[in-house]
Amino acid sequence: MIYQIKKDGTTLKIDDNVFFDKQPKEFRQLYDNARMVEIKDADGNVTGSTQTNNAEFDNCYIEVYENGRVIITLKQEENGTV
Amino acid sequence: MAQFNFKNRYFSASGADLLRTMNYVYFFSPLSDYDSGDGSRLAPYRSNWYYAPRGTTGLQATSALIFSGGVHKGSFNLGSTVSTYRHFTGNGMGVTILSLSIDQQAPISGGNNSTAYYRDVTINDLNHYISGYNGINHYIYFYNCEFLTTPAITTTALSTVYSYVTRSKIKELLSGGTITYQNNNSFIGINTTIGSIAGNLHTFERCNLIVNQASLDSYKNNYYAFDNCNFRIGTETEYTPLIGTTAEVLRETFVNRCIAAGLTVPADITDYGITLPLGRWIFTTNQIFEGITWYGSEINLFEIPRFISFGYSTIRGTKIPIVVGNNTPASIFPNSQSSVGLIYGTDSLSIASNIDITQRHKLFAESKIIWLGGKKKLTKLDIPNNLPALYGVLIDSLPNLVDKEANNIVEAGEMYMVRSLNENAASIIYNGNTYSSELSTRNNIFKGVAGVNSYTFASGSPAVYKINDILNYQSIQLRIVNKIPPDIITSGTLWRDNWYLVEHDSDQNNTTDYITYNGVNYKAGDSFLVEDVFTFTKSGNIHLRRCWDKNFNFDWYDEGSEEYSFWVNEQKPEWCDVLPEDTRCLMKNNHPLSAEMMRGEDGKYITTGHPEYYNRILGTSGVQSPDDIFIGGTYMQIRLLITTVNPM
Repeated sequence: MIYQIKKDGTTLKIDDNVFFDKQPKEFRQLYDNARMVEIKDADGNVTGSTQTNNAEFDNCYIEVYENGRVIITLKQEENGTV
Repeated sequence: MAQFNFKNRYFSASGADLLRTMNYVYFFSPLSDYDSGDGSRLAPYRSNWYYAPRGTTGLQATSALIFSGGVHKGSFNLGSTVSTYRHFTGNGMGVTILSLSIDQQAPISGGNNSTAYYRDVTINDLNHYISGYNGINHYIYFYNCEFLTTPAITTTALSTVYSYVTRSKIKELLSGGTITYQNNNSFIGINTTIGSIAGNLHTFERCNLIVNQASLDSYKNNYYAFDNCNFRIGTETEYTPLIGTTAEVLRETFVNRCIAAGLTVPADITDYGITLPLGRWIFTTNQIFEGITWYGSEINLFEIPRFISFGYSTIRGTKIPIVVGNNTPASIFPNSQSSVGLIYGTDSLSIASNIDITQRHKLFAESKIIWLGGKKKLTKLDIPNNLPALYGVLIDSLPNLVDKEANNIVEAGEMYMVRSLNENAASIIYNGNTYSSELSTRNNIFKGVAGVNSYTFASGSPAVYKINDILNYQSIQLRIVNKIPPDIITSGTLWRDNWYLVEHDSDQNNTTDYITYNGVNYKAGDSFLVEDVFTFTKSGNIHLRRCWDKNFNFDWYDEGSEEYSFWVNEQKPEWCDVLPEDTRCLMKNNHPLSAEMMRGEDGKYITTGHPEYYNRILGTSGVQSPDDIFIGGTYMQIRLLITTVNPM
């Protein structure tokens, strides 16, 4: 299944039947940046960051399983494929 | 006697090891006393209290609250005026039940957020109120939680609560605020429209589902597994099941019903080279149980080529069925080892109507011999149940209260609970304080202090019981061995009270050959207990292996005897207490390759339900044992003990 995904002005066509390490570099970088979550202390100061496996893009959520499988879930209002 | 200790690891919703990463960790138990609790491992705060547990007002804003097993039913006041990041973590769903009323007074100025993370708990009548500055956002994350009821999450009129639910088991949909279901949830027995729940890779089990054109068009790309569901499609007016048994037929039925109900089925979907109509959905019957997908089921076979896994758990289980008849291999069935008072049905055990759960009862059910098909590690045992824990009915092989009354002897450092011998309230005085049996005030638990060895009766007819396990660990029993005696039995006399396993001479999948014992035919893989009949006949290429005496006790066997020689250096078929969610053990001499488990001071094997286990792997004595050894073996038996009148 090929999805059109959007993130910060970038639009890419991504096939979810392709494993993560074979995906375009641009997509992998977008995902790696989006999966970073800031850790804050009690006063709201950023003290560090941690990685999650679920990244929010503009029109979808992307989860990468440990086996490299890419799961794309389009946000409800924009659900549809290209 | 060793004290039960909290577990060695607790994780946050994002997978961080809380004990290593959080500066402030507070432990809670419903069976700790109000006065001496300081939130530490061995003196946890008391959670079953209708006021703020001492010290919780002013708990650090960034902290982890670890809840023991049992029902937690108090009112928490978590006052704070700054951003808060709090983790509420339990021992596991079904084990730690949160019925708390949480008042989170935070924050009071703009720019600050409050964030709460729940993990490994069952949520039942949870209230979480967040007051504070209007217009700021509150975030609540649920990971690996079971929702029996919708948590009531409320805040001030101008603020919004955002809830995120991941890898959870949902029996009632959440409501209020903005709710996002992320991937891999298991929905059980709910009514919804396909597509109204966000996220991917969900399972829907016994649900009533509305299907409209948008469900098909917009959500066909999401992976869903539907098991035993009823559908109301398009113009249909009733929820009805799909007719058929195999996934292939059920898919065809679904597509035909969509067409008949005026919907347009989207073009076939090709996924990893497999082309099917609605190819990312699968429809099945009886392949998911309480969110766990069976190993080798059609859903499991659908997952493998697509590199996905459905539902909250990645475990693909093998069912130990509960049956009424006596020739289903590896099942739990009513035999002489089960107690009266339990009613057996298909995959169900219930308590008979003549059992009063407000009186003390121990009911038990035992499985046959379970051949694991070779030496295997156990990683999890799931015992889905809806026993009323709130009324003190649990699956637990360890008594939480020592049966015998304390008889006016109080040991320092031990916890005691006051109950009444009749229906009226009763109270005692210990160390100058009055403790009452009443649950309405929950001032019913005290801790023994040095130098004060007795209590005095104050009112009514009190009875004081020592609390054995303040952490309310809920264990089952199992016995597991690597080997059974090698003799192949084809004739002769059977031994009384011994379990025998039926093996085929060459093909363990054979279903035609059988052993007849006491009028019942047993095929390969089945087993039976010999009681009053000592003969058997065989039909085909089949034989028996003797396993063990039902009351196995190694001390019975004289040195040099056949039994002694076989078992002396082997793992022995002795019952051990195991926490189903944590199936680890210690091995003899702390060596992972030992043939036998380590024994504790009481002579029993040390598995997770043994009070020494967590103490040893935590190194509380100053010496630490390895924490990475799972219970393993080839032949196993499990026993479920259902006990009543547990502390609540």
